[in-house]
Amino acid sequence: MTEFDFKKKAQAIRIAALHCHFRSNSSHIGSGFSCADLLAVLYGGWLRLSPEKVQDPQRDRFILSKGHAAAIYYATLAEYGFLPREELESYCQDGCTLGGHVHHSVPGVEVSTGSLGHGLPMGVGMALGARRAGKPYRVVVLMSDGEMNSGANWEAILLAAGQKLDNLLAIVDRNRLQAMGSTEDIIPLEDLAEKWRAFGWTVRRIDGHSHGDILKTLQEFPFDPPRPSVIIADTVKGKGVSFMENRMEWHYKSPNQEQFAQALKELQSS
Amino acid sequence: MKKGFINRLCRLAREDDRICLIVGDLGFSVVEPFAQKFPERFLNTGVAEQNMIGVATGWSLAEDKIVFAYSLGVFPTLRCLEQIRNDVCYHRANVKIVSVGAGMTYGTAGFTHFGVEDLAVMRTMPGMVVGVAADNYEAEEMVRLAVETPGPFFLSLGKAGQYDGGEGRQPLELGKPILRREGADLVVISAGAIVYDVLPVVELLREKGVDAGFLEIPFWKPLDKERIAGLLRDKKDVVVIEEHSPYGGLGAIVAEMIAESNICLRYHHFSLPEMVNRVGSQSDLKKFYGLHPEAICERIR
Repeated sequence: MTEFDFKKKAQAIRIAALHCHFRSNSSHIGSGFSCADLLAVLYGGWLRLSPEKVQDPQRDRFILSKGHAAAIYYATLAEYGFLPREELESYCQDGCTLGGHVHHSVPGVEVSTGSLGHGLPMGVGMALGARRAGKPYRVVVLMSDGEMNSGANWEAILLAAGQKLDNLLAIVDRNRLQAMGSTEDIIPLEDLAEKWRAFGWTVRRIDGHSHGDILKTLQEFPFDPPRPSVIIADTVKGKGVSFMENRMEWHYKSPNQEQFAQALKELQSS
Repeated sequence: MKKGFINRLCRLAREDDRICLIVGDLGFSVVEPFAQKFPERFLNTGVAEQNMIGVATGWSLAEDKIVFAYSLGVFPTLRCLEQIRNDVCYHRANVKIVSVGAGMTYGTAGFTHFGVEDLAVMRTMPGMVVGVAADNYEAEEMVRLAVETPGPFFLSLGKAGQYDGGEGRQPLELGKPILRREGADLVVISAGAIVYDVLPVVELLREKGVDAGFLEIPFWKPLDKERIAGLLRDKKDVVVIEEHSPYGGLGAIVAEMIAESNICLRYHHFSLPEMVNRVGSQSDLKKFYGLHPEAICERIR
């Protein structure tokens, strides 16, 4: 895929997620928009994954540890053929499969997440399992920066380095906002790259909205075997809609009719 | 009971390469046989139980493994309870949680090392089998059942007496209680290593002319409630003894059963208090908390 293709995919994914959030009056649109570009590129050919391969034992494993970004992830899966697009209409409706936090019953979803700090430990288990079985698949875990508060993650980070899991890639969606405010006011994370490095990982820090940078960096994986790899993707919460960008309240709020129309207009013309 | 556990695990692992063992930096002089024979299926995740459970789940799901996660007291349960709930149980992962040091096994270590609420809590975990081994033979049998039964499994191991090799014993069946002694007047119900303290109580009662029976409940979930209700129906008294919190454990199980089956009988419950703030040998602690055979006998009379 070309950069132009990724741009179109990312746009389509954001628009689909916007519809989901508006229709269901649900939270986390800001959280989804910050990682839309990462998802568009990951699923656009770099991840060895496809709708036909969801049961293939040799497939790459992708874990959305920030499970609250369900809408954007489901939109990604729909855009890349894992789900029928129409199914997105059921998002957060009564009795639906597509709930507010990703669920493993959805084709293409490896594990259910929603409580933070679970994706990386499970990812470490998968990467370790692959290593012990001599299998070449890779494990990718997309995390939020807020969830770096969680001790369980640091347990996993320590172990992964100790076990030399260079088949493991963590990606931090570094949008600098969490539920109650700025990450740096709540639990300062910077210098985040240094922290990961000190724990034995090799770090790349990129613009999480540059499709070119994202792809180029993915193609360099593993960055420095036998160390596990992490991409800190500097992003903007709510990216793509001017009045949502960098605003904490879009962690919670759902667009009203007027905001929906405005957001749609901006996304369609981008 | 650690010996029974590791012996059976190694024997099964020889034939079944799905079996893996993860420890939370515990198991010195216990787990070495497994680690040496099957190094590619052994992992020490260090003192990090939340990660241990996540790793167990990931390994199990990705490579179709049966992963045993081993630690002590409440460390593999309460420390990482949310991981058990949201990783293991939510995915019905083939992860078997093993806790050594059930009850006050490590008496001189104090409260932090007592496993006295874990059984009640594990009972609430969706789809979790709760097994309470009374001796090495039961430990071995529960390992077998854990391997044979897909899904979450909690195995509580206490301190056993002499290793008996299980001669003349029946295989354990999932969910089935064991009627160790018939009795027409009264049924004593217990589980875990304390069963061997309770058996003398039953004999003492019989000597005093009470026709006491003894029912062991090695599986707290699933549970053949019909069978137990059937046994209680015509009795005058039921005595429940557990080296466990007063809340949510065997006493609660029996009380629930009595209420659900509309049975009417006198109910006596001997457990630990909710705070076990004493240091001593397990035997001393049991005496102190009224769980010693003579004490129980006294209280029943």
